[in-house]
Parts: sequence; structure tokens; C-alpha cells
Amino acid sequence: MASEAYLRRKREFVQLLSEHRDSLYRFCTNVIWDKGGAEDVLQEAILSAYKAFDNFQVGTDFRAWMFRFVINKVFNHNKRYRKELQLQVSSEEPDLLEALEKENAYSSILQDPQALFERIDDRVKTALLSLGPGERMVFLLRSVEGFTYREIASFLDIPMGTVMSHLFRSRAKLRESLSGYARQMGFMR
Amino acid sequence: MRCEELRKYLSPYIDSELDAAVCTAVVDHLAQCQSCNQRFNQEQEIERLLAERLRKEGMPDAFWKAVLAKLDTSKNIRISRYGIKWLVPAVVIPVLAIALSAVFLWVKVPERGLIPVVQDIHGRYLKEEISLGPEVSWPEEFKRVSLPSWLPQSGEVEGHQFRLIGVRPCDINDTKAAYCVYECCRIPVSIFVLRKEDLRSFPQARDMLEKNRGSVMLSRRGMNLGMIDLGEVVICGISSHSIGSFLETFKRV
Ligand SMILES: [Zn+2]
Ligand SMILES: [Zn+2]
Repeated sequence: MASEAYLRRKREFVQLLSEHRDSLYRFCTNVIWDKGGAEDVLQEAILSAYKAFDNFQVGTDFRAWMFRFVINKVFNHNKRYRKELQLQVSSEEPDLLEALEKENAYSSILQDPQALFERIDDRVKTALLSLGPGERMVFLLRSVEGFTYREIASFLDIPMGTVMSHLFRSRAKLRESLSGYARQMGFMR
Repeated sequence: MRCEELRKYLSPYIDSELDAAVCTAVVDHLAQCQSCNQRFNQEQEIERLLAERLRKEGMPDAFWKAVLAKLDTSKNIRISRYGIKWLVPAVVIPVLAIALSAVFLWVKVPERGLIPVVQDIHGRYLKEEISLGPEVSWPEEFKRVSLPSWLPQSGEVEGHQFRLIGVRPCDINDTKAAYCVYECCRIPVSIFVLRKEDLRSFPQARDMLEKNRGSVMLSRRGMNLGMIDLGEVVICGISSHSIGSFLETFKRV
């Protein structure tokens, strides 16, 4: 019966989606500043994926399949995101990590990161928002969502080398922000 | 490999994405160098804490519910290679196939019979062009009809929860009908109530009911349509949800 096939497909979609709802939601709200925009983007992505669900191959990675729709909608939402991803990273840039190493605040964090994280509340999110959108997307896809460099390169349509340089810079910048918070809070050991 | 050189590989090391040749060199160095080893572990811990913080937020239930509601009212999943299947006894299929091919079409047919109008109204409800509920108002003409007093409000059929969203009068061509919307499993179900005598205006539907002893079920392209003769009224329902057992509840009351 036609409607049963349809309802079965729909149930499959809802089931798969429910397993990854938190992952998709936090990615959108971490990438896009305003919550309303992030929710619109996610809802559009889900509807597009739903309509195309017949193309989804059973047994393949549903989450990765969904993220393609989400990223596509993020790019539509803000054209700047795609542009910033494609920016060439200058190799002349000073090594941020190396600079950090010389700071007292950072070495205190290294000694006991847990202690700092217990005190900084939601400033991790603030630190994240200080990244460029490209850096932010790459960092979230890798560190929070656990996609491989190859997957990220394919999602964002950029070379692997660009993934790596965005990732390196995002990590250095995040650590720089952490260092700043540690200093503000007098977090020294 | 020197310590400063090693730091360049920190990021791919954290991600387990070093290529084999570099990886061996890095691992070798880490095995010998206490300071680099410690630093890599500390960085990995910072990374873990960052990710943990950012993973805290999940999808709020209210948003999830809104998504589910959107899915219910959005266009169906495009399912390819879909055959037409009739849910009527095999014997009557040849007869019906001819009768139905003329009426059960998604394109508008000039005659504007009952079924195309019903499809059209249901489609407009899904597109939110028609709003309904929570008010329940019946057409003036239905004064002598007893159905409004026992119209099922909510309940369960074979494990399916349904509830009435609203009722309002509607015109099908020039015939007065009551348009009721239900939801079953959060999927909208449109129900049209017509007085039996008004079926004169829809000869094809009337013939279909007569030939099938007062009960017709059709299904096509993920839409289910059913008609049932209750004596004083005829009920016609359409939904992407299955409709057969739902229409039976009107009979039982
Ligand atoms: Zn070393
Ligand atoms: Zn149901």
C-alpha cells in the first residue's frame, strides 16, 4: 500500500534524524550567531533532506549526509562563509602557538585545564564566536563533531591543506582567548 | 626531529590524522621527549574540554516538535517507481479503474467532481492556505443531521491517537458540506461530511459507493482517500496517513 511505504520511509527519516538532532542543532547554533537564523537554517536543511530522502542510501552515514544539507543552507544563509573558507592562509603568519608558549597564563592553563574550564562558564562559546566563520566551521566539524579531514574537505569543497590550516589557526586562537580569560580572572598557579 | 618542529604536527596529532611517515617520527620523538609528550597530552586535554563544553547544548524539545509538525505538512518524500494501487476488492478493479482514472487525478479535471475538490482542499490545508480550529461550526443546512452531536473528538484506533482540530462549513461546487480536520499521529486528516441526498451532484462518487457496498478506499502517490456511506451522511476522508480504520470509527459510534 502506497501510504504504508511512505509512512515507513517517513518513520525511518524521523528515527535517523532523532539520533542526530543534538549534533545538528548545536552545529547550527554554534556556526550562526543569532538563534533564529540558526533554527531557520536547520529547519530548511531538514526539509530539503526529507524531500530528498529517497536518495539516501541505507547503511551509509546519515549524519554526514545531513551535514551536507546543513552546510549548503549555511552557505546560502551567509555568502561570506564560503568566501572566508576559500581565503588563502599566508604562510608568513606568526606561529600563534609558539607565541602562546611563552605566556605565563597559558602555561598555567596547561598545568590544570580542568580548573580553568570550571570557572569560565559559557566563555568557550564567546571564544568560538571570535573565530572567523570558516575557522569556526572547520573546528566544529572536526573537534566537536569528529568528522575526518577528508570529510570536511568534501563538505566544504576546499582542499585538505586548507582544512588543516583553518583548524590550526582556530585552535591557536581559541587557546589565545582562554589565555586572555585566565589573565582577566587572575588564574595563575 | 626537533621539539619546535614537532609542534607543527600538534593539530593533526590530536586528530589522529598524521600520515604514516610523519606519524612514526612524531611517535618516536614523543617516546623520548618528556616535555613534548607532556605538552601534547595537555593540549589534547584542552581540546577535549573545549569539545565537551560545546557538545553540551542539544536540540530543545520545542524545536524538535516544530520540525515534526513541519514534516507532517511538507510535501511527501519523493518516492520513485511508484505504482498505482487500488485498495478495493479485486473483482471490481476493472470497473473502478475506468471510473476512477477519470476522477482520481492530481490535475484539475473540468468537471470538478468530489474527489478533485477534496484533494484540492486538503492540499490547501497542508499549505496553510486554509486555517481551521479550534472552532467547530456546522453548515446551517445540517440542522437535521445528527452527526454533529456524536462526531468523534479524540480517541484511539488500533494504536493510533487521533484528535479533532476543527470543523467549518465548506462549499463543494454548490453543495454544502462540513470540512473537519483531524490529526492522527500528528498527520492531518481531512474529513468531508456531506448529506446523502446531496450526493446527487456527484454521480461518479455515488456510483462508486453503490458498486462497493458503501465503502471505497483508494490509495495513490502516498495519499489515501476513502468514502463511507453512513445512511444520512456520506463521509469522505483524505490523508497521507492511512484512513481505512479511521473512517470505521465514524461507523461504530
Ligand atoms: Zn620534544
Ligand atoms: Zn495514526
